[in-house]
Amino acid sequence: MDARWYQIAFLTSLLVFGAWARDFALSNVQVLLTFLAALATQAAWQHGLALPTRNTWQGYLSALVSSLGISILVRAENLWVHPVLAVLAMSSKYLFRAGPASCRSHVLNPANFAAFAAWAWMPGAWLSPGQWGSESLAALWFFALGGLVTQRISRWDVSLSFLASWAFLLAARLWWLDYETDVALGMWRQQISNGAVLLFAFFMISDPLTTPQHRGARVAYAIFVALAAFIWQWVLFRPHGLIVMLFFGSFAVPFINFWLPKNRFTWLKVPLQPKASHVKSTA
Amino acid sequence: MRTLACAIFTSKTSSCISAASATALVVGLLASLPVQAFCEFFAGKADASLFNEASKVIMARDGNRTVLSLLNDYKGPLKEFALIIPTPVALKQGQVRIAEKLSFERIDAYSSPRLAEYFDNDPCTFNFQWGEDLQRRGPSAPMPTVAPAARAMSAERSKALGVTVEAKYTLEEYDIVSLSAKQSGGLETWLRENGYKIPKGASAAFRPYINQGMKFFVAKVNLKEQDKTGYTYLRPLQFAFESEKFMLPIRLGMINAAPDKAQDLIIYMLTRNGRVESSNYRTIKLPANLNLPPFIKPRFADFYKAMFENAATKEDYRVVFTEYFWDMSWCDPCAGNPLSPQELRNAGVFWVNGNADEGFSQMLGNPPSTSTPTATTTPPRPVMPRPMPSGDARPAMVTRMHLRYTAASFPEDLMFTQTQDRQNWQTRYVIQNPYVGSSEQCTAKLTGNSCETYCSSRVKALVGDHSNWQTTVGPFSGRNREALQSECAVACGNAKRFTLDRVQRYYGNELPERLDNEKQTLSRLTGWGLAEIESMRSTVR
Repeated sequence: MDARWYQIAFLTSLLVFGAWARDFALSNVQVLLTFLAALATQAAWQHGLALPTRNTWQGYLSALVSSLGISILVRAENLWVHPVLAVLAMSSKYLFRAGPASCRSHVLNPANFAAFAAWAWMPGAWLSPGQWGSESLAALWFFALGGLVTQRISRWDVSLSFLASWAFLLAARLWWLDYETDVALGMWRQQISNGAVLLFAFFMISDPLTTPQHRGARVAYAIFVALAAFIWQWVLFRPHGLIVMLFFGSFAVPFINFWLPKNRFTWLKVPLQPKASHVKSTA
Repeated sequence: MRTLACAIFTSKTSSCISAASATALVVGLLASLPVQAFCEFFAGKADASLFNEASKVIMARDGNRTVLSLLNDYKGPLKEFALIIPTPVALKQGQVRIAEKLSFERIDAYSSPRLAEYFDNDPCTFNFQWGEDLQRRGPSAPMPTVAPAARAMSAERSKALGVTVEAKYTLEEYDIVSLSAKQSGGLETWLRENGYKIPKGASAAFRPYINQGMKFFVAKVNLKEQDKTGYTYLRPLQFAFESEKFMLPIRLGMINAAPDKAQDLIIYMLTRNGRVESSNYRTIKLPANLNLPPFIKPRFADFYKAMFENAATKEDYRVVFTEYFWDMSWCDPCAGNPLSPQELRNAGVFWVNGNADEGFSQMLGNPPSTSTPTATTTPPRPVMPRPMPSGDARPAMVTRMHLRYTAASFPEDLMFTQTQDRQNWQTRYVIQNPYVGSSEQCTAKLTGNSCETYCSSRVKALVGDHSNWQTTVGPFSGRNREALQSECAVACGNAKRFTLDRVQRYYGNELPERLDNEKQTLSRLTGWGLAEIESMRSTVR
């Protein structure tokens, strides 16, 4: 089974949980428009490029994943921001492509790009890192870790190395600041159990197509992103460290892939054969 | 049936503007609006004085520039008062000033949760239009229109303790020192040796701030100077500084607090563009824009207190509530006047005159350059809904945040982020007053209206005095007086029956159902039992 179904199930539960139990400032219309725009953009590109997946459901799974990600992350005071971001995110997959022939793919994770664009460029849009609250999302963590165990999270090595380094850096900061143990534990738990960290670790930085294909490089990349985000957020006191640093870090991935090439990851166990020989496969 | 009445204001407001009480900060999917109206009666508010022992902070922030004002409602002996605030930079003389308590009162009044009031129209309005439209050929009679809305220790000892006195001065009634410290034990000792009453455990709480490179602003009361000022209360302090850190250190205030003892904090955040929310805690809106039973009007403050307590408990004291977010140039309904440019400036809005650099420079204690226009003081105005300004006239946006927290529920200092959300929002509740009348009264009134009288005048207007003429007017064309008279009588009878049906529905079903819903809303929001609410209703009667 395509691991993206697991992603979709997980992200849907995260969205439903957020909208119902956490009062996400999100309207049904915004969600609907995001999905419509993402699916339409994906269809337009696939048909325009005559890709082999254009008439199969596999060709549209990434649009669903990205739509869920955008809906979960981005908040806006108007109706146009979400669909515009969906169009940009899906188009970025076809417009920004790089890397060696063996593993050439899109550079940016669509949801990460959309979240970055919302924060940096979109009027009337914002990210709401505090929206998850401080209670631990035990059930969702269980679900995510379950995914690791059953190998449904495609790049579990990235997820784990990111989580470990992020948790370590936060703990190290609290230890260095010399908080009393119980206070430090409370703070650490609050910082690490956040839904945004969960989402980032399991469904954003673990995107197999926008992380280095070489395992060692991938692990180092995850640690580097965690470190950069930590500096951005806790040394420079700038917002949205994880989203911003993954965005910038993504541009290094094609270079890493040139340096340490490996065959490109594919979601499909048996890849569809391109009908036209000049068309390169895409996710 | 809702009457919109503009520019009408009940006289309650002035009495409602009460002093915002506070203790020291440190030691110490939009609900659907039942009525979409531009203006409405303002019927009451729930200001910050409801919440005793609530700390109050005004924070004006633009870019990295912050002007922070703190109001203390310290009730103990003045000589024992001490205020210790971790600050991102050492505050020098000039960066600190005495603010006006009035600023807090004005912002509180302006941004308080409010009650809006509507009145039902008389359901017994006999709407009989037969033959009417066609008669009116001349200029139409003036329709009732809705008016447009009006508008001392040695340096050596300090050094030994690792404490550096960055600045030391007396500002009116406060003796102030800005300290930087190398280690928390030294700071605690320094403070004790200098006569500050420091709670046990302070050292452990100071440590992380020292390690973060933060400085400490320390103030105590200079009793002599305090006498001279003539004030019976401690005036608020205001600081201006530049820092990337958009945060409020709330943890130091919890040194002595029991882990589950809740305290209130009300933050008035003034920004240029968008709503502010916490970046490390959930920020949510309170349930608002709901209809409440009319008898809650005299007990609106009690309602709000109970509602807030209920909401905070439900969230386990783990959230920041947004109580108000609005473009400060207007309001609707107004719980208090929008602040004048001078009042905004006093509250710390340094960009209000259009020149943020110059404005902030003055907040840092630099003399004004001669070319700077001074803010004009506007005379007091009556409180009435202010129309939305045309164009981009917003001088500042205010986000009023209210949190009830415990040491356990807020383990970290509060950090903020400014969003690009510019949708005005308020905790506003609505009462819809029923029309005072009854079915019987309406029946009596309608019986008094004779259909014959109505009809003879209208028929006359159509055919004149000529009994056999057939009218040529619109749908009546070809009929004579007799036919018209009987047609009119039937229409009149129907109109009466329609009115009576409507009145019976209104008094018999709609009102009881509406009141029932309103009581249930009240019960759901406050946690009050329906029996309790019922007894409240009879008390008010």
